[in-house]
Amino acid sequence: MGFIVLGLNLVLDIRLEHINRAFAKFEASADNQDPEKQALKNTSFDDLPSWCSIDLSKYMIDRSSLKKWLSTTKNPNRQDTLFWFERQGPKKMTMFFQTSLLFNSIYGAIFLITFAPAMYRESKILSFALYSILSSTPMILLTIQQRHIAAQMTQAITVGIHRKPQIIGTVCREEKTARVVRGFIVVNQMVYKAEHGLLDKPIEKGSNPVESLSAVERADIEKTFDGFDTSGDGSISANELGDILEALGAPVNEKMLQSILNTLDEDGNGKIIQGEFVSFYARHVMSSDDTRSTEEKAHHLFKMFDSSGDKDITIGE
Amino acid sequence: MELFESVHFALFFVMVLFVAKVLGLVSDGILTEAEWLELDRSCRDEEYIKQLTRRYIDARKRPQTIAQKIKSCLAATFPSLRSRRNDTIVDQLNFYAMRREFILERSVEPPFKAADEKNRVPEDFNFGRYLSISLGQTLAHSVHLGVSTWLFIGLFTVLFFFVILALDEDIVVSAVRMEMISQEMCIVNESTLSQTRASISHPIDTEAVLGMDRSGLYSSRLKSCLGHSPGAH
Repeated sequence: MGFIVLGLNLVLDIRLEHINRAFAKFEASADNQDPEKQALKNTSFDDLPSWCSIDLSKYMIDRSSLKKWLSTTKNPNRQDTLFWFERQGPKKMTMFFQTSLLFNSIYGAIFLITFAPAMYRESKILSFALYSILSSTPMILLTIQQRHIAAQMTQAITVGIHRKPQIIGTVCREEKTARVVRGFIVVNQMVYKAEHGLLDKPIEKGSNPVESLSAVERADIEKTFDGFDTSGDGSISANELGDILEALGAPVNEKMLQSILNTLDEDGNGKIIQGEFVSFYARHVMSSDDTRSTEEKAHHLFKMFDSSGDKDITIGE
Repeated sequence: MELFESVHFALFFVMVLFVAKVLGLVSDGILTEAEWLELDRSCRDEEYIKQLTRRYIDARKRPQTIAQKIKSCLAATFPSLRSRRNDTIVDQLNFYAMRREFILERSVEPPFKAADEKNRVPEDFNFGRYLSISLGQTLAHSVHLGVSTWLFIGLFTVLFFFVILALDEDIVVSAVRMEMISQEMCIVNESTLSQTRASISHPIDTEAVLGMDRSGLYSSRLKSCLGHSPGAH
């Protein structure tokens, strides 16, 4: 029985791999005769994924009555046809996965409390060991298989028409929150370093922190810059910076603001461009010269939110 | 042991193993999440993806060794045996393609146009995070066993019970007897062969040797085996 269920899991795993490849056109096209041409072509992503090439009319002709009855979908689309139960596919796959999990547990329990003791009593040690290995093999393989299936299934049942708008909304909100938090951290670092005279620290020779930034880090910093550039003209003016610091509740005076501006505006033209902002971020925000503890940093950030100073953040604040 | 106690023990073990499996899946899910987040970050670096594509093309040009061919055959049949380290490039490129398709949000009808840029997720959408949250939901659903799953398991158990009834066998006894048969077959040698052949003409003696037999299924198998030449064993 264990080997039968293992086989069924394997079939499910292969099917899931097939579905995922139907969405990832790189792998599908790379199987063609000329992989070099195809792979290079695919980096531009002008080709359609393989699910688009499914012959729907042929599928509808070959579609069995049993499939029609089980799927309860009158007019399946091309993505539906990738699943055994068409539109119901994701649900049924989850159910099968649950069943397989429960079966594995039942199999293990029966093996441990019934078969293994009986074999231990009735047979020799070597035979018992061989029996145990053979019997536990499907259980172990199923466990490995199930871990792979969980990841594969998640990919297969959450893309295309099965995408989950609620989760997309959550991810977008998280991203926006992260951007705002990054903005707060930048302002916090600006104020702290201006207060302690750390902005005037000379740049170490031979080190260029901007070069050590990865493309992803740089993109994140550029997004933070866009948040500061309220006019959207590609640069931050002295007024824009002052307004932002004030809006975020940063306790800055004229002298501190001038110090921040002098550090940010490397060419001294009165405007902070993206490159200058990235350079400031790499040299000052990502540096380790802030000796405050996490608690102190949290207190500092709290003060920025608490504009009334009553040690309580209201919804309005 | 009373039947009630046995059932109690069995259910307890089933639940313990089920919880252990789910915890295992959760711990593996954390690793998968980290992997997806890393793949997603790498996807945003176009230069890195181009480099990987070139490496992938170069790797495909090189002739495969026999060991590599066997491994790739096994990996195709048993996807869980794929080596993550060796297949990193393919995994990354597949993830890149899948992420790209997710962002484009194509129509399911020809000519499969991508959704309008204003109405789809941004280019820097964190697909890895999306998959991670989805994995969490999938695992949560897997733990919450629905009525249909219990019905399916019940049906499966009843079917299995009828299979056992049809065989007229006690499965525990069968397992033990299989072991005894293998031991019996081991002791068959040249010197005892003539005696054993003689016993086949008296089925009742063979039954006595096998002890717990009720259906005679395995004893008849043994008989047929013994009927062959000694070299066959």
